[in-house]
Amino acid sequence: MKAIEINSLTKVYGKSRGVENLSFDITSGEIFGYLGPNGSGKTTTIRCLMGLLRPTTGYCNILSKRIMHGRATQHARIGYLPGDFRIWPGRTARKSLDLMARLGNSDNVSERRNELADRLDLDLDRKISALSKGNRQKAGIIFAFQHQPEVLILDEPTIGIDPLIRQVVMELIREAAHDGATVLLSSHDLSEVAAVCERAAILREGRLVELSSISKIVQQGQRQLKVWFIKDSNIDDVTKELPDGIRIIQHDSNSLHISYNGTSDKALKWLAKFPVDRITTPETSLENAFIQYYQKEGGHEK
Amino acid sequence: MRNNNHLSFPWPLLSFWVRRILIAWFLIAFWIFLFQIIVCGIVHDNEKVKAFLQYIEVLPAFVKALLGGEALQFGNIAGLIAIGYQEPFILLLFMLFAVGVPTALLAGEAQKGNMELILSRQVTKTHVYICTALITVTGMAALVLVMFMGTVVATNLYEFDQKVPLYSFFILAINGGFLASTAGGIALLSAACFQRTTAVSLTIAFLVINYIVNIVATWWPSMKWLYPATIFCYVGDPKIFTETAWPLADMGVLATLLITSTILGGIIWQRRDLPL
Repeated sequence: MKAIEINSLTKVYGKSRGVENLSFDITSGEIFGYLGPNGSGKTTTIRCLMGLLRPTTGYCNILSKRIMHGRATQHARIGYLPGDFRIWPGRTARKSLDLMARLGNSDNVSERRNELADRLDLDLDRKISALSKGNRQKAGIIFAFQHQPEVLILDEPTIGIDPLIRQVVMELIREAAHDGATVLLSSHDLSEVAAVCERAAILREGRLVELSSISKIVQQGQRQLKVWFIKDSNIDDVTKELPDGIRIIQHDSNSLHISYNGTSDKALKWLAKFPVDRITTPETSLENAFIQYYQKEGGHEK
Repeated sequence: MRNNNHLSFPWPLLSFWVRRILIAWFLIAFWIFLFQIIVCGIVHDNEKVKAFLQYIEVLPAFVKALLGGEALQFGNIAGLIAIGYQEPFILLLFMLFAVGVPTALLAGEAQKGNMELILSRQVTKTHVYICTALITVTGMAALVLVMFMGTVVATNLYEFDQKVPLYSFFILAINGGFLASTAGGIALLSAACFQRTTAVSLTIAFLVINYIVNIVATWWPSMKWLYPATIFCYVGDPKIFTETAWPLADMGVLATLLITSTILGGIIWQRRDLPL
């Protein structure tokens, strides 16, 4: 079953573009990564999904219901964390979160809220204005998770949060998905997307440029080799005879780190000319794939 | 996963917003109430009133216009008590509420980022707008009642040698309430269209221009034709005191302005993208 459907979604702000002709689905129980640099249209998509923005054309469905602008469609079943979580600074986190829960017809969430606060190490009885940026973000995470929603839409959930708590947030996301929730995770932290998501979409300048499994996206990135040469051997010419399609990432007196596309054949044949001691194949990360994808698509390395 | 998807009126939001503006409302209500007592305290004493009347008679026409214009009949107590209903300080207090509340609740919450959270729950934009309009209009009506109660209390505190027509003051207060609510409607329209600072500035500009035109039209006979163009023309008809008549036509004009601006604001608010 499709929990989230985005169909030919276009949003234009006056003369500037928000997103253009986006279409993708997210299956129930799936954790879906939504990637792209700043200004690529991630937040615009999310706000259209939440009914905060009126699409120029196209539509979104959540849990089989068409999203109507400003009509709170399915909102009791959605947990939303905006990219910039701001809430009444003069109130305690507990009071604000309680009000928000009551606004979503979720009255009996205090137990779950306390449990989340314990796990995230947040004092709910402090005023929001007295909380650090990271702690305010924790309040935002509780806001999204406290009513145990069926769909979670999280825009940069771990921004400003320390690595230990980040792990807790990742656990919460996994647990929610395990319990059947669908998660749309927009993030700049590609390692966390790679850690929890099955599939991801990559946006560039408002357009969908990739939509596939994380492993496939990673495979599409450039491959890498790290080579150590036999001690005291003369490798001065190694960089002079660099074949096309091979790029040097790092080079010192007796080692070389290169990247290349396609098969390893050309790189290995070239390296065979030199006194190689050993070779390792560093794993390509999603981050590398993402950066390379942008360089490639941006025209810098076409 | 046990969420009730039923869409109901957001009473918790309404009650939260009411509690947020309550202190401001009480402060404004206190000053309005106190001002009526002060005005009655000054005008109830015959000797002082005579001196006051003589003083007023020598004042330029525009100062009389500032004090209330045609509605004032300086020869009787009722006309003098009516100063407490039309004096610029009182109008300022009413306008403070009428402008402050809708702009703080609509544009202010949107600008602070809270609106994005509110609208991410089971709350529609129409709900938010209705909550704001309800608080503005109800708060305004309650302020009008406080103003009238101030007069009632003051007439019991002080002795007057003329009968104080309380019913006429009640009518005047309701008429004034319509005026203030109309200002609230204009503020609501501005708040639905613009960011908070712009909304406040535009509403204040609208009211100040109206007030200046009102004074000029009252004071300068050749500019009298401008008078119906101001919202202040539709409050304080002398017939309220002379015939104890309800100024239905005036209230109709103000109600039309209130309804039109509120509906227009609602349509614009509904169609606008958030956050602002």
